[in-house]
Amino acid sequence: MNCEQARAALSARVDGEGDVSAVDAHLAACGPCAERAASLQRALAALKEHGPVPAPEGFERKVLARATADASTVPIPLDSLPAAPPRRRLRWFAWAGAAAAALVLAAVVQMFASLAGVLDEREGEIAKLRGMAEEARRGAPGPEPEPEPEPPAAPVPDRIQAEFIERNDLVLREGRYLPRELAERMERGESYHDGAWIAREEMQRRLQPPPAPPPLLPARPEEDIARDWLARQGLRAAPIVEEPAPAEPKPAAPAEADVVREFMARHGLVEHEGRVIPREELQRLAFERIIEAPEGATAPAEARRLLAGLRIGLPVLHEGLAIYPMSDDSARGPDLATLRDTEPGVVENGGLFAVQVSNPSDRPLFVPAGTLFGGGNFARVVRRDTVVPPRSAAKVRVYCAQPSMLSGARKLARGEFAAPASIRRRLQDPNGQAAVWTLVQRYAAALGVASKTPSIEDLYAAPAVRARIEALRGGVARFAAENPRARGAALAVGDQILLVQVFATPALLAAHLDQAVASAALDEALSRRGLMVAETQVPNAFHEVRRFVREAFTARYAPGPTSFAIGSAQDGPFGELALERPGGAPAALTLYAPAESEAGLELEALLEATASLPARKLERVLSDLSAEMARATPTERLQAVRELAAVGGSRGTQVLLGLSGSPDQAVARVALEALGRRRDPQAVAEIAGRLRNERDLEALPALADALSRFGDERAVEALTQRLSDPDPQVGAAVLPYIPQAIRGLRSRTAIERAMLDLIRFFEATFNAYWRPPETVAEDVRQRFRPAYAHALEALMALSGQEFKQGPDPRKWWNANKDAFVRGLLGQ
Amino acid sequence: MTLKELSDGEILQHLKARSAPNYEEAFAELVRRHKGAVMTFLTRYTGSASAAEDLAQEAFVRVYRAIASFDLRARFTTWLYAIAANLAKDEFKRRRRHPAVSMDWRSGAGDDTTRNLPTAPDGSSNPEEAALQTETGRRVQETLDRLAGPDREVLILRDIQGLKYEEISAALRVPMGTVKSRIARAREAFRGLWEK
Repeated sequence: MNCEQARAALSARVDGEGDVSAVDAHLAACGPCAERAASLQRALAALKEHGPVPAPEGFERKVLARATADASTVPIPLDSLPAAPPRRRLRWFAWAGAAAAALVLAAVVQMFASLAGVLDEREGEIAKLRGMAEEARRGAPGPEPEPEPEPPAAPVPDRIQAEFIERNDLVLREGRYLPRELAERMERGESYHDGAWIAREEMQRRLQPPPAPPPLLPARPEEDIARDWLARQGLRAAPIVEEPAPAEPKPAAPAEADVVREFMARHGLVEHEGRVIPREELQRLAFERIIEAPEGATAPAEARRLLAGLRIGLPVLHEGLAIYPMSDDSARGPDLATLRDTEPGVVENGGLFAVQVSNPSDRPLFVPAGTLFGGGNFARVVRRDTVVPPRSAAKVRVYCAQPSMLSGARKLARGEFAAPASIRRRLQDPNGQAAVWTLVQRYAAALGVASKTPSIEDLYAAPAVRARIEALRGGVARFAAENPRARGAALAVGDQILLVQVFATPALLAAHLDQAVASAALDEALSRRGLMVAETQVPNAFHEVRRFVREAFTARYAPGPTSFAIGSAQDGPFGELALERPGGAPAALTLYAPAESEAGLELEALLEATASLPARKLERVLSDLSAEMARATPTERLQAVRELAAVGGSRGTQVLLGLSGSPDQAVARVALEALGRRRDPQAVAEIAGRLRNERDLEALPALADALSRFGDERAVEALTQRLSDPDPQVGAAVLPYIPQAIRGLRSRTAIERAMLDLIRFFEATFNAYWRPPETVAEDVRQRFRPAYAHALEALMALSGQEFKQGPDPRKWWNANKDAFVRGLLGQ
Repeated sequence: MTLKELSDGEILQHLKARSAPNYEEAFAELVRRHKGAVMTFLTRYTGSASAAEDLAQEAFVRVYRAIASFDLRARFTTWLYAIAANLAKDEFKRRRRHPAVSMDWRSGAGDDTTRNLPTAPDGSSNPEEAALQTETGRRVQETLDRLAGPDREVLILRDIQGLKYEEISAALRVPMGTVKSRIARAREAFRGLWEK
């Protein structure tokens, strides 16, 4: 072993690893290496001896106070936990698909299990559940869990307790203290239902499916359902068995806080928002907690509006399927006919990718994306939400979901089913068409469908699937009866979310829930091949659902740093956003935006037209469009801008430029983003001018981002100029976009000039940051100091170097200028 | 049997099943056992005892909330360190994003612009925190501050906390080989700075 090898092996030697004897032999013979080893030992000994830091006084107390202060003390899986890897790769799909046709605000959040992997995973899970059930059985003495044994009589509360009880207005009921209102309502036989206390008879009435004949089994009061549910979660309702007195000697006069804490623990009470409530009440509150947009939500406004304020309620459990209601108090959205309550005509339109749908009713007809039209020449799947005006016919864009049938039939079957999530997801793929044909064949084989040209409808007709759908029907009915106000539903088997759908109105959910359940049943059957879980416990998917919806707020809707993307080449059929989630199961989200006004409908028609028009006709449509846009609502305008982004032509640029100055920040941002993407040089001067004069820090990033995409010298110049703005925040806001702007440049001199500008600026910030205050003028310090980290980051991003010292960037530049420029120019 | 005699795993099992007679007390026992380790890791990683205390509290709060999702086959400490490490890194990212915070970072770099850029803040401005540490303790901190984040992390876990390679690998979700090479690199860097 030589010195180099020995030194490399020193660290392993310290841990007793590697070739210990060889290293030792070398150390014994080599003075310098032995000294090196001793030096390492000294350093590590110091580290070990002086490294540990004691925890401060009262640490546990502070943790507990913090943990129990929040209402969300029920377990919530968190991002930072090992179960959730910190980095998430997100795949996004275009939004344009959703924009044009939607009259209805509907979101479909779907989670697709990878079919191959799920089988094993599911079997493992079921085995685990069986084990748990077995354990529970063995643990329980009787065949049926008897009611809790009478808790020991409450001890006579001492003075502190008495005060506490009085202060919080608690009353003793069956050996346990409860808040008075709760206890009294329970005594009166009231139950908590759908956000309010109601009489038990009223509850029973509500639980009856309205038109149905009297049920075979008496309806179960909500309380029982909740108790069952809690039991399945392994949650125990208080009262809690009293703990044997701890062996530790009690101090003579216990502190008040200790007495209160102990009292509350004994009676299963917790503090919530200044009130004392039973622990199970806290669970319920957490259950009903309204979903709010978390800090840093990046979702578009309409998505947020759709999702925010939703409450996820207790699930309806049926045959192993849990259906969670999602509701709020608003009843919004127009009154729409659905495929189910009208007799629409669906006929071939002469093409593969469109069918004609006629609406005989007096209301607009809502045809949701994903609807399956069977028969005709080929089975089709509706591409986007489409609304057919009353008493008229419209072309509906579709996917062809079946090869080589060509029956010659002109008429298609009204869509009873929707394409299952797994297939809809595949259709998003640009090559999805062919993939779906193969997929349907494969599914058909797996489900034992005999047809040579199987269609998706044939999959639904497979015996296993049909039986499952049949079995789940009761669940849909119960859900509808118990949750008349729900406008969304999340479907889960075990803790696996199959599908989440949110519509604008309860009516729309009611009309489409059985479709959703059927599609979940098909996916479920496909993934598990008939392995039913009806007998097993259903673990909690509630938090999964909530987390999933919350994620939709912060998901990246686009590659850009400020907003979401639109009009990409991938005109996603369902406008779905797929995000890879912790645990590997990918998920997709579909959001649709509403058209609220007449003008909005008009706008949609025009936009639809732009997609297929030749360039020369486009100009006219665009001018109509901008006129229409002035009359539309902000949401519609926003959607329209997104659509416009997909449209070519210089007139499009003009319209977008006009919109980019819109006082509506969201519209302006989307327009700017679209401009950045189309890189029409005629827009540079205008945007650059605006950047020069923009004082609003909120508006700057969108302008800078757009400019940075042009690959134009004028754009970079405008950006670097803003670096020396007297307001330091301006430079900091613009800096992140400069690397991108420089990378797009196509001229050597422009690149060199911009790089030097950036390095000079960095050096200014460096000095302002690091030099002692007395050597730098205060105004200079104030101006440059805040941008230091941003400047360093920008330079590191451009160079790929890790700069450690102030002069490093310039040194690097001087040495690597040519190679860097050549690299950017692709030479 | 009292709480103190139960292993971490047993306590977690009770907490998970909500079968602990006194939920909070059982949880407090877990905190009591591991608070020192978490405080040490976070203090040495962030260089600030007050920031570390806040993060350490947050780490345990997250444990508290997520107990239901804890897999009992896993080691508790691995999980705990993973949470702490994530929190520490997030904290750093946050500070980088908000340069206003960095105004409080160590000043006194003098006019010597060739000095290494610091990688961590220093809480030495706070007399209380300073008092917590001995002269050598402070020097240990200063030396650690000058290591790159990943190096500092493994060095603390291995040479202050005494975790095994496998445990570090599991907590940081980094392959074993990388853990070993990082430790070797970190030790050499630390030695070089320490002996200067």
